Amino acid sequence: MNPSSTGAAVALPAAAAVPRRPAFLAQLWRHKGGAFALAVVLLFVLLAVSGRLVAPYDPNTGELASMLAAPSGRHWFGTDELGRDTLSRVIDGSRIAITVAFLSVALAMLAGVAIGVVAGYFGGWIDSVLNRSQDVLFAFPTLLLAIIIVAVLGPGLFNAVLAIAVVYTPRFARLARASALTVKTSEYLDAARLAGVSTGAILVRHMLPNVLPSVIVLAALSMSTAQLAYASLSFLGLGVSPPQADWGSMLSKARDFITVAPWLVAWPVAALVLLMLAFNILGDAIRDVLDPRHATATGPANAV
Amino acid sequence: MLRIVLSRAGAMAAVLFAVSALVFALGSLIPGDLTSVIVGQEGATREQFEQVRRDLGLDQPLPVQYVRWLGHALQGDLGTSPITGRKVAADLAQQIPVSVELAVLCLLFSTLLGLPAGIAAAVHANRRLDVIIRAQLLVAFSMPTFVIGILLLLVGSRVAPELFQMAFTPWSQDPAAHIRSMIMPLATITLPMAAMTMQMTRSAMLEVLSDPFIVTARAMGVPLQRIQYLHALRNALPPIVTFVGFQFGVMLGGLIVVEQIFSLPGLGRAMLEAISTRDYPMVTATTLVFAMAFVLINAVIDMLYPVLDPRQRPR
Repeated sequence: MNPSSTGAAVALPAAAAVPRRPAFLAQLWRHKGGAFALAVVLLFVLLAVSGRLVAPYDPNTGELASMLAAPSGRHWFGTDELGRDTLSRVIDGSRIAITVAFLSVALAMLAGVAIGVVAGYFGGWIDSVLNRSQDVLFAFPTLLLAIIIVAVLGPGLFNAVLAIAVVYTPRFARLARASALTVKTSEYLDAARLAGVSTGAILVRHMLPNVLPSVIVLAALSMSTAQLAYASLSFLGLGVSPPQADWGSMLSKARDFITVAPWLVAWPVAALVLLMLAFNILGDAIRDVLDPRHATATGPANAV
Repeated sequence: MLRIVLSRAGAMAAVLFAVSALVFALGSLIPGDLTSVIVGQEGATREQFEQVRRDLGLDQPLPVQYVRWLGHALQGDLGTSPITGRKVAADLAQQIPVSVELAVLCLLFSTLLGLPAGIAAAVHANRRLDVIIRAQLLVAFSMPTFVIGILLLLVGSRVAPELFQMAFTPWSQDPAAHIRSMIMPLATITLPMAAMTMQMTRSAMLEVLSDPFIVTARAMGVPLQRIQYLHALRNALPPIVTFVGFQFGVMLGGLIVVEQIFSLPGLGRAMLEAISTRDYPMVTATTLVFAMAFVLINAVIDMLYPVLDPRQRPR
């Protein structure tokens, strides 16, 4: 898959991977859904980064004079029961949503790839122990497992991220192990071993580059469900603590005011669904670009 | 057949034993322990602290604690909640029926909706009806349960305020009010489940419909309806049942969400409340019940497989 590592050369691969990147972005940009999705995700990232600079009001302090005000020129998205500006809170919430999506998937990817590559390369009892324990995790319902983990760790933003990462790790491990198994028997790996390359170097320089493309596709596809899983946890009160806004906790509070202030429900849901769609389409686009063989096979992601 | 059931039951008991040990170990991993909840953080002397710890048996090593807890649990005693002061088992006896009712009704209605829709979609594959059904499915698929619930609340509060305002009423108090209070929660959890059942039915049916025996049946003049519902569906059932069972497990998570949205006094809500109040005996008990339900569902599906598919039966 990676042309650079098919040679027996030992020092080349890392350098050879670089020129691919601009081509990859350009291809993504030319992909019909990819450009749109990338733009939406970038918009959310931008909102997340600039956050309080763009937000018209402080997301966490309200004016009691304008409690539950309907959307108007002053408050575009209306205000909540404490007079806090919904637009500012939705913007502030995007910081949490983006952070959680990237962080939890990145953690799961790191752990999963490490476990998968080690299991695939070494085989034997390490493989079966890792496999069995992953099977147990894999069998459990996503949200239920995340809730149980949060129950153990205690509610909170980072613990929720950790819980999602744990839940997602087995998928990455499984995929990485499968790719590692195919690379393991290849001739160039035999050549590297005969040339006396150390085990660590083989894993990092030869296994990793071959495992990565499929893992990146899975990571892109996991972003949207990870974001939703976190929103669910937060909705259940297991995410951020009160003054801080995120979409899940905003919706959980908005439920009490649903008859008088429907805008409190509408905007967080809109943001959530938009980001979810963008992540979904982006994931599909990245898969199409990186892995053309699966371009037509579309299965719906397993929502929580 | 009996031997299979017995060996399955044995394996299940082993799994449940492992699960209970795991849940208990997890429970003792929770930062802080029961003592601090009971005694309170301030004003307690060291002696009082130690006294409570001794009374609860928390000064014993973990395996000893586990065996004692398991012994009590097997006799139906899951401890007493330090928060409510009630017996955990008594609370569970109240909460489990609510959750089970919701789960069973969800399974029933989602099958009643999803199966015919899936068959219709497969028969009309890639024509307008199929496309419409699948477009709706995609929406239901990708939304998390709580978003569906909250949107239903939003619509419900406008269209049918009498349904929206229903607080949970037990069946024994007023059956009619009970049914009305369950409609919204049921719709929330049934929609995504029905969508998945439909999707699975569609693909399983499509596979079977291209089999030679269907062509033979048609050539012999068997009515089309009969072919679809009898010949094809019967053969498409095993994968559908497996998948529905798997989704049923996934739905346990949705159950927690739905109970929270609609304030149903079920197991999921009890679990969330226990987590936030650090009610350890309750957290352990509810977690255990959920894990057991999941293991049980999977075991039942494994046993259904040879019933549905004669090729899977041992000779």
